[in-house]
Amino acid sequence: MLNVAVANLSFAYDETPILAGVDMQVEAGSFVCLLGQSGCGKSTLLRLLAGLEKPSAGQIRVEGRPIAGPGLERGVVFQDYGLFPWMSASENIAIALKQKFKTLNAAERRALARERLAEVELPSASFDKFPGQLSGGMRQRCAIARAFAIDPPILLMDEPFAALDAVTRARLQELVIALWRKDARRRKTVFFVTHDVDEALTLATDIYVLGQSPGRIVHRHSFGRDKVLGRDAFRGDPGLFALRSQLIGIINEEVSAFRILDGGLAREAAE
Amino acid sequence: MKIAKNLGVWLIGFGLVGGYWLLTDGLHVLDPFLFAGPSRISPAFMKSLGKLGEGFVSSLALLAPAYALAVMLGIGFGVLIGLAAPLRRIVTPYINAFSAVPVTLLTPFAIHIFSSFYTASVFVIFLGAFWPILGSTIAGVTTIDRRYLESAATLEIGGVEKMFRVVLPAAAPTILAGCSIALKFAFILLTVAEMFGTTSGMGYFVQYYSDFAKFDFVIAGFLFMAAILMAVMALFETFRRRMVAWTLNG
Repeated sequence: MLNVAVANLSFAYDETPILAGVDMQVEAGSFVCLLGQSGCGKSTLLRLLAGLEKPSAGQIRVEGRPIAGPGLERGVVFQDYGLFPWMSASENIAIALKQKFKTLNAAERRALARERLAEVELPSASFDKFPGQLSGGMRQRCAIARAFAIDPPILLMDEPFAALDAVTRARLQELVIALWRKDARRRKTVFFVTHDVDEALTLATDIYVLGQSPGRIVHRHSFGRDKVLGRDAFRGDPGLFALRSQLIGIINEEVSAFRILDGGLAREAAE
Repeated sequence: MKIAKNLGVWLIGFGLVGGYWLLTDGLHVLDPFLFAGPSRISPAFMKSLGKLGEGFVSSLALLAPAYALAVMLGIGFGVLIGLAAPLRRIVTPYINAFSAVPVTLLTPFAIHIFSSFYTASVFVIFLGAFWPILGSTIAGVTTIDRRYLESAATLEIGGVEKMFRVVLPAAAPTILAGCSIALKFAFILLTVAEMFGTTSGMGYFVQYYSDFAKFDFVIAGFLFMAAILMAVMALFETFRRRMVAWTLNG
């Protein structure tokens, strides 16, 4: 369990500002959903948290220490799975285990990899298959198994279910909640990028809404520590529906504040 | 079952032999001096089989070390150059310049530089195979999907582990395509390499009978080389398919 502090974070790509002045104080064990329209910079923020990009200004600190690059303390689940296609599902887990647990021998790694895959309910017949031979949902289960296998205190998930059908998505959301809840004392701090308001409401303890061009935090909602609502919360909770409408309203307001003018983006005056 | 699977291959083969027979022995369309018909090639082939077999072993002694060296150095340097952008910028113009020089033109220089005809021959085959492998390896490494490298970075996979478990497998489809081209090119260069300093070999056999205008033996030699190349390429294809079984088309 690690605290994450994002202070005045900015990022520009080829002098185009993507993120500007992002501030976040995230308590250890929180499930943070970064919510916003496509192109608002939420995936960039996640890449910065992963150490895959360097900020133009500002800093990200984990337990007070600035992050210097990618590392095993921050597991990543990419939207396109991030699995190595030339390795079988179990080899993908085993290589991660080899990096994290240096004392395990090959047989132990293999056994543990299969255990982790079983934990995410991947059928055993698919353990030795290449990712290309698995369905999207199975691949994402494998990617989640790999991220949890190295037991990182921080987990970064970049729209992991965006390409999946509604039923698979719902099942995987439940799986992620179950895995997150599993060990209360060592609960992971999760950053989950999504553009789906319902997904954010289902998963998050904290929701950060990002505005557009450049991306910045325009709204924060916290349900309080440990309080992940889950899918059942939607059943007849008028408060939640009001919050849902409010969040959609904020996102729409941000989007409609921009118009494409002669090929360039310009921010219109809010009034 | 296997014959049924390869029916197309057999049909084309029979078609080519039949067509050639028609043009030569059948209808005598082609000049019989240059284009010996199957009636002359078959006995020449059978008569030379022992010599061709010996030639195969002799050629292998040139081909195997030359190709192995080309694979090792081509992939080694290719990975190094592919991963180091500053180095790539410096050496690319020279790679382009030197790889364009026809290897056959370098034969006199190779004979002069190397201590024996054998090493000079090996060098000529090596150089011909080296450039396509180097080029394909550089291309393979520079076009690795960034996602794989980022995945490796988030798992702190580095050094030798990254090289052998991430970089080489990711670039393998392109590298193996280059190796396949290099293998065919090595066979072509075999004839050139065996023109000097050797008294046996498949290329030598063809060259020897060509000098005496015994084209039935020349064609027999060609056919033997073609059969060997087909067998070698089939073996290579089996290896390639195993290595890149994870790709969509295998």
